[in-house]
Amino acid sequence: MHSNSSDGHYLDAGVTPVKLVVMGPFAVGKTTFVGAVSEIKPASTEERLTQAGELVDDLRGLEDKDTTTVAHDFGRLTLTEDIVLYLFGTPGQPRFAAMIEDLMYGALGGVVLVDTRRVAESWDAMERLEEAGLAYVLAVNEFPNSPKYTEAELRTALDLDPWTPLVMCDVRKRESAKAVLIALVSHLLSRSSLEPAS
Amino acid sequence: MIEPLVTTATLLGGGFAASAAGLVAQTRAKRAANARAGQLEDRLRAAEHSVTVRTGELEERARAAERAAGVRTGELEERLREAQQHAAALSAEIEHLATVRLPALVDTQARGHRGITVPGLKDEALKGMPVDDHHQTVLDLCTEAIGLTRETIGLAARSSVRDLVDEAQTYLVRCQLAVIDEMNKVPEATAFQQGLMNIDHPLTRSVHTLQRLRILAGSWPGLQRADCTFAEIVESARGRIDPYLRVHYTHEPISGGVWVEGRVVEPVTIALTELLSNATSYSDGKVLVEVQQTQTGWVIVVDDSGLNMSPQQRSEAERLLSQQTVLDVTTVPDTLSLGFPVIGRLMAAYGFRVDVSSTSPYGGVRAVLHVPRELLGTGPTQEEQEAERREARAAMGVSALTETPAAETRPDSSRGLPQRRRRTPRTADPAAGRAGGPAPQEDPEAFSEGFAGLAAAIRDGEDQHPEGEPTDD
Amino acid sequence: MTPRGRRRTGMVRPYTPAEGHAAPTRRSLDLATILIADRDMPLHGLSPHAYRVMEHCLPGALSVAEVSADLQLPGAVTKVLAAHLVDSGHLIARNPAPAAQKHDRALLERILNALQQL
Repeated sequence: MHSNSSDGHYLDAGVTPVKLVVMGPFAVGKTTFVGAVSEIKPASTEERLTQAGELVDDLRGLEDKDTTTVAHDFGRLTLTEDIVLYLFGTPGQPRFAAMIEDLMYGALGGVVLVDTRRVAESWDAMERLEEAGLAYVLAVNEFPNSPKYTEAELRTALDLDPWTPLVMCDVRKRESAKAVLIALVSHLLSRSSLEPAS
Repeated sequence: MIEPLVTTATLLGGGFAASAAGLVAQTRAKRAANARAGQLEDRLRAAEHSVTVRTGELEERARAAERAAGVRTGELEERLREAQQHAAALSAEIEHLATVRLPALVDTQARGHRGITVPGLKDEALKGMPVDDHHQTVLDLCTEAIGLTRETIGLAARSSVRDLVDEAQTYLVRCQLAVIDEMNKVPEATAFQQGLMNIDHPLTRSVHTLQRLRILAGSWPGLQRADCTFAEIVESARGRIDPYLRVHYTHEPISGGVWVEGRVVEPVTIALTELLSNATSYSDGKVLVEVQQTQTGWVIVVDDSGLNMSPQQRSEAERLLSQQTVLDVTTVPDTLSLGFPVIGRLMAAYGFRVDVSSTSPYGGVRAVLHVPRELLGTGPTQEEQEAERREARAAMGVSALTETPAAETRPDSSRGLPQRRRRTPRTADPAAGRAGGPAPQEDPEAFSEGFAGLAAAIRDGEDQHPEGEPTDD
Repeated sequence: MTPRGRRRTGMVRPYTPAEGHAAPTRRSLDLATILIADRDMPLHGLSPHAYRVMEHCLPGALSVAEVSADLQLPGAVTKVLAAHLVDSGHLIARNPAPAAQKHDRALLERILNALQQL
């Protein structure tokens, strides 16, 4: 990656951050998607309890509970010496609405992940992006036992705008996830050609 | 005895007058008689004298006897008086024991009143006498009984105090964890975040209050930390008092990064919290904290600009600090003075030292917490720090969404797709709208370019689709 | 695994370095905002946490989200600290700038090219 630090994670001072949001319902594969393209590899976190210090003896047993982590995923992809892509996976639950708004703010665009077994759960993310006026790409994460639909069936059911790309993907695959990003940026490019640059 | 001798002389004189014829003979006889009379008279006088002397002696002896009897009576009276006095003294001493000495003993030993000494004998004259010994035995037995009872009850009480404190502390620590989790879930700079911070502060102070209690009850702080730096200890302690914004501590290049051994991190932090609490409650101004190196280790110096302690307060503070026994929580007079006993306990158990005898250059008290070199730690190794950072980054990349989605959001899709109904009416593509074109015109080049890659990616994904479901969030 | 290291977190509660403020002095700071340290600014007199942020940013640019994760501070606290450091001139902040650059074809094309070449 383009980094001028022996440490490997520092960026050049002249870098421009670009922000994308990855949205969709619970367990649709957002974390996996972010992890697949991020140069910061997510690993499993077994406990966060220790934030308050380890409770030995008397408070034993507490370790088994509370293993929640931060509610948003976070990944980074250094594209060039002066462009770095930040991917934020937003939580799916409505109670995180305020955080989603916050994460969407300033984003270039979004990826909405869909599980065809439960497409309705992705509607909320689509609505939010549409209301925010953010361009997005719809990415169908194909699970082995997912029912197969034609693109036309999906577009109709999702009431998708004709200009919004719909792509199939396997979020575990870097190339596949990358292709989703390529579709999104291509879509942004196509829009930019039509919008005034003011 | 005198009368018959006189009568004999008279009769002898009458016989002389009656026989004149025998005058010569008579004269001789007369002379002889006279001589005999003289002898008799002498004897008589001697006898008389002897009687007189004897009579005087007898009289003298009688008088002496009388005198002796008088003296003896006086003696007896005196001894009686003494015996009465002794009995009164003993009675008074017993009363003194019951009404003064034992109550004072109960006040000091059982009620824990300070500044009271158990008085000695009422009558110093009884010192060393059996009554003194017996009374002392009574007092000793009472002290022992109170001590044993307190120990037994105290053990039971402390154990239940610790159990309850453990439970309460566990809940509070969970609240603290929840605060951090919530903070990470909601956007920054919101009223909710502010609310969480506002809750976190009293929460943290509650944990400290419980820790004071458990320490006074002879327990450990209930939290085992890893090695921490002095900077972390000072910042942590600062956050545990109410007016933490008045405590000033800036980054110190050398001392700030010195590690303290994990085992003593929490005890030192608690002791420092008590010192900061004292410093801020006795002054309205800034409290300054500095960490300095000494010959034997490091010191955390807390200076306030308030009133200095009076000599009495100072000696009381020293007394409480040197107290190493487990305190009976019920005998601590008020919560304000819990600080020094808490520090005293921690000092005795963990081997650091606190000194409050100096005067701060700002006019108030200078409290000095000495951390000997033996209590310093090594901190995490370079690798550990690196791993720690990687894990933290990883944590940022792992979703917290462990709940299962609600059942109603899982439509039965085997029979077909549910139809989306937009919350807001469909808007034309903003780009298209602004451009005024009738239909969205897309850049064919970019579009095909993008889709070329996309198609390849999809093929790639399909070809290599392994068994099993893709990893969930 | 770093059990020793991890147990340090939580020692200092978030409100302490943030001085009780959840809102940064600059609303514009985003998690994706890049922070760049001014190497000429003196570091003495900074609070321990402000110093940590500076120390962490001195080797090179990082986003608020990364600083937050690296220092194990909640985003809110990192933003408050960073905002103060931007105010004092210790840090320069570069926001993700799609608002101005969303329609910058050159930027989008460069992003696209870079993605295709990855």
